[in-house]
Amino acid sequence: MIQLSELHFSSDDGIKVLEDVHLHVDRGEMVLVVGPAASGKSILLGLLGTQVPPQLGQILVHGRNVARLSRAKLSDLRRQIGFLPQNFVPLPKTVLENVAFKLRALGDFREQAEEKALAALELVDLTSRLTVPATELEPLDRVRLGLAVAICNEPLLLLLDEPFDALATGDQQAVCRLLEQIHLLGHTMVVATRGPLPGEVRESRIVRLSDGKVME
Amino acid sequence: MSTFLYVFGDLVGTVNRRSAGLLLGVIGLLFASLALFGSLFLLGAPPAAPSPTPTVPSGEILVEPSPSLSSSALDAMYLEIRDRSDVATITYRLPEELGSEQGAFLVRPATPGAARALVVALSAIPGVARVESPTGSASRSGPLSLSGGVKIGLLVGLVVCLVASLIIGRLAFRRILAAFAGEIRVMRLSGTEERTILPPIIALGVLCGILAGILLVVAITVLHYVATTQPGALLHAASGLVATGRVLGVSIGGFFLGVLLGGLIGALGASLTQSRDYQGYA
Repeated sequence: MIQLSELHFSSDDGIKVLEDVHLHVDRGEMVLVVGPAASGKSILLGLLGTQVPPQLGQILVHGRNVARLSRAKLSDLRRQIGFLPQNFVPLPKTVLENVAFKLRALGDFREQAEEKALAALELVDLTSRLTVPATELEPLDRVRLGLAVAICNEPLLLLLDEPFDALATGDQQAVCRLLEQIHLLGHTMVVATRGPLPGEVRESRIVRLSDGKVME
Repeated sequence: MSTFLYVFGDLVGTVNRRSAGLLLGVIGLLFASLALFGSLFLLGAPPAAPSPTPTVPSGEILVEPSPSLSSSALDAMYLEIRDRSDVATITYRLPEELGSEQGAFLVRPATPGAARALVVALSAIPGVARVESPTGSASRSGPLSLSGGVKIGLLVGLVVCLVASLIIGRLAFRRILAAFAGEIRVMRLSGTEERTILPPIIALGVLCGILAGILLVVAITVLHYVATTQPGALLHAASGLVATGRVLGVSIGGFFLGVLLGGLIGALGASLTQSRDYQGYA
């Protein structure tokens, strides 16, 4: 599913962010990338999600070399990747419209988009708040909404950047249960977190990222 | 509803009072640019003839039809001129009477004051080759006489309005896109192609151009109507307004120029989305 080889990445001012990273993630696997702030987790997810252009090394996602893909093929690949960015900020629309917007922009008709959006919101247990303005949601519900947006078009790969950030312990555990649920549906998941790890996801494969290097 | 219309509708939905004001400013400036462009072709008095024909009797206007006109077209032209309210009499003179190679109509205006306007109006009739009067003549296809100073003034005004519309347009799009940045980021993050994201932004600029173009066509049509129905001082300053072909050409040309300029402003707006603020994973 994902194969990283000899991956290097430096910031604009020349600071090494990732150094000789090797990583393999199998289909259906759930991997937690754990590391302190500014350890390169978000860049790693950005590279996997084809949002950050690679500099040196090889990135294979679904068997495709990201560096060699045309713009159109990158868009195709992105459609198969669900992304929850760090500090997810919902659009100033209702909860249902937030999810449906992505599907409409990807070409779904209204009925089809709403049907898929409802299914995704049901999975994250947000169906009771469909018409609520998303900007008024509590932090936990924001994460739920972000997950619904990420999974609504049934991607093969889910990349979640700090989904536990700024959540109370109880809420973190609720998100963990949700991730387990989504993982059971067969999604391959890479979750970046700075820790400490909530108990429920300790069973997953953990990859530690420190000073730009991966340690399993 | 297509994806384009959906995204376009969403984009328009983010327009607030302030950005709407800026868009109205863009439409106004585009209209001003188009109006100045049109003025270059419509303003000015009919050019003076280099050597007026001495055979035209005082107070009458000589209308020389095209030699290729059929006799029925000549009859139709005669009736058209005769039925005008500002025409008192019309007579046909043979070539021998005029001492020239072809015949012509001699038209007497209803009032002496209407003579100049009538010269311009008659020159606009299809099939008329030349119109002359003792006070001056108008050629159908000749350029209008516009002084060099006025032309330069119009051109400077045109450039100023164009630059101002680009600047205000950029400001307007910066504001609108700031409110639409979340949607753009979601689209880019989820793999929506650029050909879905950018065209609605360009279309908003084109819409401004279309509105400015429509305003221009309406303004020219109204002025053309006024010039042809109530000839007066207006015709001395803007004699091109009575030439239907010229009015049509300037209207169509101005409209498409408006669409083009609007598209250019939209494209400038779309280029703003290439900055880091609009990337899916900044």
